[in-house]
Amino acid sequence: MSNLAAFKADLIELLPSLRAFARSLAHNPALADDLVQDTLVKALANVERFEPGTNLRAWLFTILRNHYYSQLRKSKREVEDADGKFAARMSSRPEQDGSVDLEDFKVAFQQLAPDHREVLTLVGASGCSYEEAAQICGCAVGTIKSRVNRARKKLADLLGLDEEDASAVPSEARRIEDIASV
Amino acid sequence: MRGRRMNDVKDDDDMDAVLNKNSDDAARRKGKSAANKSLITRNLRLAYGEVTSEGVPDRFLDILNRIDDDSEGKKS
Repeated sequence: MSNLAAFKADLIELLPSLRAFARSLAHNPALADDLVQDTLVKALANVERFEPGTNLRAWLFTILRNHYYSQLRKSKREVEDADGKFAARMSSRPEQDGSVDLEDFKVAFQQLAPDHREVLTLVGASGCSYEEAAQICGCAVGTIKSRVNRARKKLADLLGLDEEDASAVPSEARRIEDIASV
Repeated sequence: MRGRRMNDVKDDDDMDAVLNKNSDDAARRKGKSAANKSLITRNLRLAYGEVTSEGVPDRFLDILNRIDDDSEGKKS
């Protein structure tokens, strides 16, 4: 297998998580997949700059988030409007037992600032370590930790879950076991 | 005397109640904060998992294949 073929195979394996990361930044699935496509093209164009044996996922995630932020800067209004079309209202308040509907969760999540969405997704869902997240976001590990805490508090707030008011897990999540905390 | 003693007992009970209430509140806050944390983590993973479990669109595989073909002969 040539180097390029091996690189390609690794890329294919990482595509699902790359798409999920993109979706957490650009809620609109079409925009998110455009980000993934641009990331792939950039990665392939710069394949010589990737050091084999280093963290390909972190490298790809870095390309994707840098591309997202540069697009956001270039056409801030456009991106926000496009995202806005898909914004929905939460259908309900949290249940008495503190559980929330997954769709409501997504609506609240999208109201977070991009830097909050990205750290929550990286550390909470993608399984990145704080160190990897720091590498991807180009900041210190301590910054990631405090950003995760602030993001989680903000999200709890948006979900109507203050620290006095959540004791149960969402029903959709009960079957998911062995989950590390954010 | 008896009345005074009863007052003492009452005060002690009040103090115990206050102490217990404070530690109960602290424990409850801690428990609820942890519950919020795990609720958020679980939902983050569910939302992430929804996307990762979708099939990868052909357009991405097409891009990869095209690059591979373009590179034919250029790469060892």
